[in-house]
Amino acid sequence: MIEIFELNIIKRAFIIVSVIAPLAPLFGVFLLIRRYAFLADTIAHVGFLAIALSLFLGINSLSVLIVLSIAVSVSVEQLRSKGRFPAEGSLSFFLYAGVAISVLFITFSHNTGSIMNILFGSLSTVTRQDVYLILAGALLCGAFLLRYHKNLLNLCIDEEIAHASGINTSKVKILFAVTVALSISISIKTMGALLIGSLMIIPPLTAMQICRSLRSTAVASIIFSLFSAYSGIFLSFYSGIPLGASISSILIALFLISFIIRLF
Amino acid sequence: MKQNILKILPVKTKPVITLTEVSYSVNGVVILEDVSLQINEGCYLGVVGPNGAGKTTLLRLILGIIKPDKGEVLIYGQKPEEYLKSEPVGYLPQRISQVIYEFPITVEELVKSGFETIERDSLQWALDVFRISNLRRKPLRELSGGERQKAFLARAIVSKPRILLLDEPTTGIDPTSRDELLQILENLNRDFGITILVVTHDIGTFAHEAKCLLCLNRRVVCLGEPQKILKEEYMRMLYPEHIVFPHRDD
Repeated sequence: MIEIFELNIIKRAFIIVSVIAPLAPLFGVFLLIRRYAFLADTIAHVGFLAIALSLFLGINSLSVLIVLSIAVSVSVEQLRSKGRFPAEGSLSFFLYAGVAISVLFITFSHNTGSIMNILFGSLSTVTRQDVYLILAGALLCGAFLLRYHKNLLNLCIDEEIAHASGINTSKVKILFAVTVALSISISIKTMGALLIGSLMIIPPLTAMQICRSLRSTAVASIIFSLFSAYSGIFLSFYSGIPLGASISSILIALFLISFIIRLF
Repeated sequence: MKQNILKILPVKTKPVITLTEVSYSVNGVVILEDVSLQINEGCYLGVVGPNGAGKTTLLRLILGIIKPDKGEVLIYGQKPEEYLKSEPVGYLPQRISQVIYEFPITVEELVKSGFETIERDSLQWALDVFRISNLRRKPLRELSGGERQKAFLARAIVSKPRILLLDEPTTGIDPTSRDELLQILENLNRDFGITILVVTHDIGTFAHEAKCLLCLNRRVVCLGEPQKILKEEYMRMLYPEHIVFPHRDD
């Protein structure tokens, strides 16, 4: 049991989940209220493209991931705001484009051994340099939530009410798009492109079953997320199941328990 | 620029909202054309008109959510975006996403949302005004339609705004709740001097409640005190297809 904590990859995994596990569900709460949960999936699939592109070019994947994710997230928000596309339409477009183009790059890439890690997360793919980037990204995301959570809540409830309240809705929307993309980018290597959405969306959904206020929903989401993330590391280490799949499986089990509790 | 501003009662107070020859269209379809009005402080104005008359668009133009193609909108002499930087406007939109009713958010959390600081007294006042203090810790999903509407109205007044814009506030609520709501709006206007604009299809009710009526059908058809406005000639201009007045033979 003790030897697991002597491994550098495990130490890194614990550091990373300690920052991404509280952040992801907090963003998930706002995405759910805004009916925008699908954004997490879209950005994650664009992240898959970024990692495929990095494999093809042989460059640092996390930097590419952050830049590309933010660019797409802001583009989706701009298209939504200007009414050029229905929100679901632009999200679907970027999702399919991300998957299709990433398959192109993977096909012509010589290094395709880590595809499973990209899709479902891994304990081993996060480098020391990545840890610094992840911590910096998490700090920015946390600072945004701390400063703007009240404005963001009002914006997610109703954009026009937020505008009438004097909130600079354009600024908050863009900052939200940037930080959602950043929070997904810094989590993809651990959780995997296909499963990062689960860390954002399932904890708030689980909390919604048993909580009666926004504050308690947010707190319970963080607790569920942290519990799943820490126990997921052990499950992954001892069973060999990819980390993202381990964490998501625990999240789903918690959701089912809370759903049953609500029924009774 | 040609000045053709129609003043609205009470005439002795200062102007709150001024629209000067405002036009707005979407994809070439005219929604509002050459609308000029001045709404003075303390006015309780009902805005009536058929579907597609531009009533909601008028509110959105006043708030600066959309910009006019032509003309100018001012709130207390400032452009809406400038005014809103210093002071909020209480606003209740026509439709609010149903998701918020599925999410566990309490009345208190909703009423405080969006403001950096709301004093405890202001929160209590807003809840008391709409008689929902007993519901403050209840999630919206457990409330009736009328109670939810009151929660959003409490949210609209919690910052003690000087202007309140309401879009169809009585839609979907029962007659008892509607009467209670109308009484509260009248009190807010009379006791706190809040300038109130209510967009409504409920012309009969607001003819009794509002101090002024604005009849809108892309242009200003008429405006003034309700008893002067509710005449057959104006109503026929507003609803040419649907208004049937009882014929009197005497």
